[in-house]
Amino acid sequence: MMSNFFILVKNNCLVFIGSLKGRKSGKTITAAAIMGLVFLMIGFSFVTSAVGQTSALNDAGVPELSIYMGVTNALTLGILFGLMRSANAPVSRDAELLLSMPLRRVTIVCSKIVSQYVFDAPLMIAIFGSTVVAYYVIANADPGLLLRGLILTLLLPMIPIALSYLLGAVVAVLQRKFKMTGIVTTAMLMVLLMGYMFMNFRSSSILASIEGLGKSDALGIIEKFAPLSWLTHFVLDGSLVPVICSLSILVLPFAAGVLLFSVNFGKQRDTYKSGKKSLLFASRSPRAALLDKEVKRYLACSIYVFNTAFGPMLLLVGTVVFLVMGPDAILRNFPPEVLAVLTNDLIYALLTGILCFFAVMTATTASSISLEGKQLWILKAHPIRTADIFWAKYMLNILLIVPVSVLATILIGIRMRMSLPAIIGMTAVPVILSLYTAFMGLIMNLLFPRFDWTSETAVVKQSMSVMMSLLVCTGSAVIPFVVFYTVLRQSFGFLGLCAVSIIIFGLLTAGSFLFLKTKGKRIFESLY
Amino acid sequence: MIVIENITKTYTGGKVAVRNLSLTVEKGDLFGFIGQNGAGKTTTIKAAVGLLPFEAGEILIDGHSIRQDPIACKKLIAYLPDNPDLYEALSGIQYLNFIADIFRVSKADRTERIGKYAERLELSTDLNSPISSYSHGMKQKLAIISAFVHDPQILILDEPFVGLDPKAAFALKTIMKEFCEQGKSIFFSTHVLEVAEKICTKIAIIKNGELIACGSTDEVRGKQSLEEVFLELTDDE
Repeated sequence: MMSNFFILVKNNCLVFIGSLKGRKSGKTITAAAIMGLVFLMIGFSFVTSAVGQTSALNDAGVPELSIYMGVTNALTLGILFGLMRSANAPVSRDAELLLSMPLRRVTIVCSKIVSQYVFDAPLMIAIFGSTVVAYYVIANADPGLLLRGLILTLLLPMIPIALSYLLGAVVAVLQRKFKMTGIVTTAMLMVLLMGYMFMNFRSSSILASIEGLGKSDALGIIEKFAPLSWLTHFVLDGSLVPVICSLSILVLPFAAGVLLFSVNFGKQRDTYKSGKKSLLFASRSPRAALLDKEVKRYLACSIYVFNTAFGPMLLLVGTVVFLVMGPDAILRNFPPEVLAVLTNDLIYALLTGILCFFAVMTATTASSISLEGKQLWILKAHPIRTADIFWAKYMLNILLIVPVSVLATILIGIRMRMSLPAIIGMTAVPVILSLYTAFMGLIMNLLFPRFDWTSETAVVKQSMSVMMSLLVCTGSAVIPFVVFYTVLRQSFGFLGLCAVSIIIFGLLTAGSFLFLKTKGKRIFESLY
Repeated sequence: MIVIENITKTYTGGKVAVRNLSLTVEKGDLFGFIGQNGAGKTTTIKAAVGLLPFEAGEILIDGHSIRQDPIACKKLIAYLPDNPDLYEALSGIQYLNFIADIFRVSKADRTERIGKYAERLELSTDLNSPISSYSHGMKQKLAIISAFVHDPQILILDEPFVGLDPKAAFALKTIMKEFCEQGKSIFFSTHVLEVAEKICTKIAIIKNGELIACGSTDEVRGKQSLEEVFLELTDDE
């Protein structure tokens, strides 16, 4: 007979699979097939990248760096996952149900932790496990290294678990203390993520300069950051100090996280309560009220902000870096053979391409209808025009990216001493693409809505509408660049590219807006 | 004020939830709609407020068709669902301001109405707190206040007493009676037969999607209690 522990783990897995499948059986097979394909592609890309990287570093005479890179990559994604999970202040929705049953508390808590491990381990195996095996085969390493590498592969998932439990406990405290928990949590996690990205960028930039270094200098990179060095040496030589230090950074935070999770499991979460007595009665137009509601909904959901505000934030940071460093200092980092072919027009086109990338990455609308969830009745039972509901949703998207994009383009244009028509062209292209992205996101969400979610993550990160929107908008964004550089490049310069982009994006935007006004409206009205 | 004419609603998969149902709610009616679980009460109510499309029949709200002119209908009614899921990211007062904005209620009117109903349902002190901190009963009270914010002509309520404490339930019953005394109408579903018998002027009983009794409370129950009539009519044996 199956023990309670295994019954609970099995149930957690079934709940997870069920949450991916959704409710409508008709769409389940397609959704499952696409999800499966995406997971396979991601796994395959991790494995091929690990093999390619190890092979290249082996050819450069420093295969040991592949283990270092593997650890860095696995930790980057693990930490990102941990941060994302803690943004939701993880709560076990079934805690009361499980604690009311004849089950030991320790069994329930252990089943939750093991289930989380089962969900996280495949990612670590794909990234780090494949690197270890590739290193073992390509560099003819000893079996002891393979064994240590595989042990570390199995231990690495403890980091995202520890991080999500520890930060989850902090988020729970924030929820009790602050009214705007969403904003506070998001700000805290953004700072943590930016900090980690900065560290990661520094280690990557060191690695980029490997060609000019001798072997000892190249291997010296491993020693730059102690925790990464310990984990790398855990695998490479298995000496005592790195092993003890590695186990400490893996086990101690995990133990603390598990302890906090166990103590808080099933506890009633207190939420912020206002002591203010006076009430504020503000009167606005229905559109303004809808937009205000969208903004508040957006800011309250950390995972939503995390997923969509990162583009505008990076764009701002990138612009500041560009303005401070100047184009000449940036261009010096390019190899001479690239600089030889870089014309002004090509540089402007590259910058426009980068701005278009940020426009496509910022699509709040792709999940905004699904996020209405069980509250959709409020919009549908009140005398609100569908056009106004759509307006509020795409305005949030536009307000998030367009002002930042316009500001960034103008500043970059002035710093690059571009002509006025070129600045106008470079400003207009990403702005029109932002409008198209906002409209297309809404269309995709109308075509692939999901209201039966229990976690916002399922909508913001794992829903079909978000994936399809990203796919369609990225595909559309590439069209003018391809058309221009294959057909028109010889006859027209950068302004020609802008004209082609404006025409193509303009037509796509008009088409998607027309779709929203007609079929989109009918689809929304039939949703419930 | 509400005319439901021969509506039929079939869900995907072929289940007929409501079959050829007709009823009329007139001015001043406090109309109770009762039936077993799954009888079709919520489906009828959702169709009446324009949330669910139906394949046959017509629903008129004060002469406006809910299918042809949903916005005009929704301006006249207030709807309270059986389990009001509200915007958890907003505070109680922010939610009420949102609803008032949608109905273009002036600042003076919303201040007066919100103050009045929040006082009666004892929610005034919690309106600045986020809805996410509310209990089920508090959310129900907030949804009730929001229903009165625009001074509707018709109230359509699905199980309005669920989750309310006895004091709030009493307050709501009083508010409902006062509302209908002003010549306005209420159409509501309930499982609590004692409440229906006590406050309703008209009652309809639905079974398996079909209306099996409809009329004034006295006509429906005759000389028996409403509970006896209900059990008799809904008994499958």
